[in-house]
Amino acid sequence: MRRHRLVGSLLLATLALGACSADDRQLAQAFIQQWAIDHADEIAMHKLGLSDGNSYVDAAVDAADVVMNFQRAEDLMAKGRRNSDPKSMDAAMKLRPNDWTYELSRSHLALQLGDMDTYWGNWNRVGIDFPLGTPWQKVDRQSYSELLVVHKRLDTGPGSVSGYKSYAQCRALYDALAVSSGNLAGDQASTETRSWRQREADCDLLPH
Amino acid sequence: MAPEGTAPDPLRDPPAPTRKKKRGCFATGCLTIVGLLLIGTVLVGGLLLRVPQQLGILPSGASLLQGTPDRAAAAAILDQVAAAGVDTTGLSLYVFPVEGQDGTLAYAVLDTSAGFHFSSGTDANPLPDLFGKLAGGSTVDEARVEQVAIAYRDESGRTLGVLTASTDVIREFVAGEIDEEAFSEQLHGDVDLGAVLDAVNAP
Repeated sequence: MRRHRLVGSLLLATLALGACSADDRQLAQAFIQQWAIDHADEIAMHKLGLSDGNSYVDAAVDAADVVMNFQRAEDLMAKGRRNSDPKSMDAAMKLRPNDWTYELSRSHLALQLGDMDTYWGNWNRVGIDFPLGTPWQKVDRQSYSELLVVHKRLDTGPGSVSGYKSYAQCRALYDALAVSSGNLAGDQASTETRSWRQREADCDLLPH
Repeated sequence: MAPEGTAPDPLRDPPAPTRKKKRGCFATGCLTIVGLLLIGTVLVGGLLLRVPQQLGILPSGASLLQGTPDRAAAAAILDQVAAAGVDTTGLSLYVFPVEGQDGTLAYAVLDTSAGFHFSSGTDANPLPDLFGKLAGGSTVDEARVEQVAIAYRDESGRTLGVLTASTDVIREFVAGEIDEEAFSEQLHGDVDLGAVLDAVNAP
């Protein structure tokens, strides 16, 4: 270890001499280099896929591919949300199955497109994949903001339901808006919730 | 021996037995050594290629990160880091639940190729300093961050390595209870030394 430190110090000195102004970036790189020299045995262990039993460390060391995959999925999902593109969303979900945020977005896009089977299918998946012990409000927060976007795209004004493909689509949207807003307000009889329920009644104008 | 001019009688004159060529100890030893080396190479190669992890014989760290990342927590921590004076250009942060654990992993990517640069503004080494900023504050507690990792990418986007420490250790360092050397001792991670040397020697 002492020898490693000496080698590291010499490298640091070389670095400092080589670059007259050792900036923060060089200091950081030198820190990483020094750490690598001091922990060559640990690096070798990780390269061989051997673990010391600390799952946080194992997860951190192996996270690079997960992060890259996640970023790719996020880009696809963002494209899907922006362009109402189910193909991009499905591709993202293939990369990250069981991500409840994706399932929620996909369900809302299906609702917007009037594909009720896909809507309910993904909505049910959210219930399965949402982690236990996590506040459900997270779902409501994402849900409400996405539902407002869907409403904006379909709504043709109070008393009009011409933007909806079916009675089921209309009812499902206003019901979801009412429930989410009520959950967020902590009151299912809040002003906002009641106004959505009133709009829900307009759906009766559609054949059912 | 048959008289000269007559054909040899194989019954009376059996051919002199040819000595069966035996494999010497040296050759056997060589073969054993070569065989062992071959087995060793296959084993090491298999481990390096992560075959046991792919076959599910050994657990892989990546399999512990299949849960949905907490995007809101990541954004809140990033805001907090920015408020602490860090330029967050090229800095991405992910908060992952870790399977089988109550806490989460905050994984930061410092991508120099995407414009990241350290802005510590102090004499302290910027990397441990950034660990401190990522592990401090109430947002970190709210997101139940137990471990912080920093992956560092150079100007070409190549990952030099990832270093990680528990929030407890980082906070001990920030509080001055342990010095930089002791902090470095308690870091874990994986580094591509070749890439680091390339980056250090780059003009």
